[in-house]
Parts: sequence; C-alpha cells; structure tokens
Amino acid sequence: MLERISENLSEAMQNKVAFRIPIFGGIPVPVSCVVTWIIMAILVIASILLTRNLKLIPDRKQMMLESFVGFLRDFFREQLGEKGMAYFPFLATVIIYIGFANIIGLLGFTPPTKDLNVTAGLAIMSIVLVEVAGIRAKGTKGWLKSFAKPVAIIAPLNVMELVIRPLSLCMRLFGNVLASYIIMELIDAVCPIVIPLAFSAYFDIFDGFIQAYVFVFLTSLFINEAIEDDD
Amino acid sequence: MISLDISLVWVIINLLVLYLLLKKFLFKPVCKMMDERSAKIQSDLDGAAQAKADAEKMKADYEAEIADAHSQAVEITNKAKAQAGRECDLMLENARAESAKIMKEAEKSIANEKEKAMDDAKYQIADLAILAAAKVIKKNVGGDSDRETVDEFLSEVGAAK
Repeated sequence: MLERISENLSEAMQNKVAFRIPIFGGIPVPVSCVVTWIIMAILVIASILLTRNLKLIPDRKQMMLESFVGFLRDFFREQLGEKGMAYFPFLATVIIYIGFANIIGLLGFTPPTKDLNVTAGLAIMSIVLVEVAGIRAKGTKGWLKSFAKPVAIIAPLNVMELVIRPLSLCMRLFGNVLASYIIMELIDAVCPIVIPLAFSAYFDIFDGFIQAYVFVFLTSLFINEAIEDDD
Repeated sequence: MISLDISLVWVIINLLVLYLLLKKFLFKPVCKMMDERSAKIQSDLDGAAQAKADAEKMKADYEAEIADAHSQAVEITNKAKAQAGRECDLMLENARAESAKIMKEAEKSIANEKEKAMDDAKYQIADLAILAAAKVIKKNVGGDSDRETVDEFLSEVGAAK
C-alpha cells in the first residue's frame, strides 16, 4: 500500500505535458496550461454572459456580479488608495484566476497552481508589476533612490528583496497547493469515504481562496509601498 | 520534478491575455455601470436637496407674504373702523345740532302760537265781556273807545292774575 501511495505522489509531482505543438521541433504544452485555458474560457464566457445588457437598475444576477466586483474594488481601494486603482483590474484578475485554479481540483482537473512554473510565472509578474508601479509613481531616479531608503546601508537588502519577494510569493502558493494535494492523496489512500469530504472542504476550498487572497494581498502591499510618496 | 522550464512563458502569456479579456469584458463594464449608478444617485440626491431647499424658501416667502397680508388687512380694518367711528361721530353731532335747532324752532313757533292764541282769547273774551257788559248796563258801549277801556281792564285783570 505504501508503494502505491508513493507512486501516486511522485506521479502527482510530475508536470505532465499535455501535447506538443509540432513546430520548432515540438513546443511542449503542459497540462497546467491547458487547464488555465479552460479556466480562462470559463471566466471570459461567464463575464460576457453576465455583463450582457447591464442596467442602471440591476436585477438579481447583476446585483450579485456587482457586489462581487464591488467587493474586490473596495478591497483594493483600501489597500492601494485611489492612485493605485490603475492596478485593480490586474490584481483582481490574478485573485480570480488563482482562486479558480486552486479549487478546480474539485472538477477533476489538476490545479495549475500545483505546477511550480505557474506560481513562478505569477510571482515574476507580481514583482515586475510592483517595480513598474514604483517607477511610474516616482520616476526612474526616484525608484533607484528608493533602494537606499530609509538608510543607504540597507540598500543590499532592498536589492535582495527583488528576488526574495517573488520567491516567497511563488513558494508559498506552490507549497500550499502541493501540500494540500499530497495530504488529500494520503487521506484518499487511507480512507476514501466521508473523511476526505471534511478535509477537502478545508484544503481544496478554504485554503485555495486563502492562498489566492494572501498572494494578491501581499502583491498589493508591495505596490502600495512602491507608490507611496515618502518624501 | 520541481523545476522551471519553458512553460513559465505560457503562464505569463495566458495571464496577460486573461487580464486583457477580463478587463474588457468584466471590470470595465461593471465598474462603469456602478460608477454611473452612484453618479446618478448622487445627482438625484443633490437634486432632491435642491428642490427641498427651493420649496422651503418658497414656503418661507409665502408665509411672509401671508403675514404681510394679514397685517395689512388688520391695518385696513382698523383704518376703516376709525374712519367709520369718525363719520358716525360727525353724523351724530350733526343730527344732534339739527334736532336742537328743530326743537328750538318748534319751541319758538309754539310760543308764537301760544301768544297768538292768547291774543285771540283776549280779543274774544273782550268781545264777550263787552257783550256781557252791554247786556248788563243795557247800553251800547260799542266803539273803539269802549274797546280800549275793556282791553285795559282785561290786561289789568291778566296782570293781576
């Protein structure tokens, strides 16, 4: 039985390639990418369907949609202030995508966030966004100067943060999703009925949303730090 | 097993595409609608406040006008009353004077009448007296001299009376 579990786990850790695009000697398309496409399709089609003929006096469907978007908007407005609202659509996209990616295991797909490449890609985009926001808010000169703040001696630490921040973002998300996936596999192997239900509610749904929230919360925190005028 | 490879690029491309699509199809229209609604609610509330202020101002104006009209009415009534009172006094005065005059004239004419009647009575009494005297003395005492005598006598009698 232990052998079967370890087999399952090592298989679960693999980033399977779904298919290869037959040009340039075959570009591999991983499963995570295909699942991402499915999520994208669901999100975009749902958006188009839900935002058809929006009215000034909303019906129930529109009210739910608006309270969802309004909730995200208020959250980011609180985090970033009015001048950071330009980054709201991107951050909201990321939280919706990660939230969906984390719980899509419920539909039988492999969560894309279990693939380290996905979380790394997300983290790289986050740090690029943070630094771009800093440059846009302070100018290149001010952005470079901000590395020497509050005192010049910690400049090396600030530069290291450029790597540490995305690394921690990436690893936190990856580790959580992978760990919950492994724990669920173990529980499934030990007792496949009833008990996984309770754990699944926590690991697949609650933890999935929490991690999406934490990822975006930290990113917006970094952006807020980058754009605040400390002069 | 845990390694980075080319699929990292896929992730970034996917996310950028998803970002653009969701921005176009979800956030932009929904946020626009929400902003439009809050702008409309704000303008409606402002309009209502404005209308209320206008109505209150109009009410105050009307109330002032009513109060003004009321005081004017009171003033006019008072004036009219005073006028009427004065005219009434005047008329009473006139009437009183008139009646006094009439009374005086009446008294005068009554006195005249009385005097005239007295004279008549004297005259007739004189005649009677003369007749009576003539009968008594069996003598015709007609004539003016006799009459004078009788008149004298009568006035003496009247004075003595």
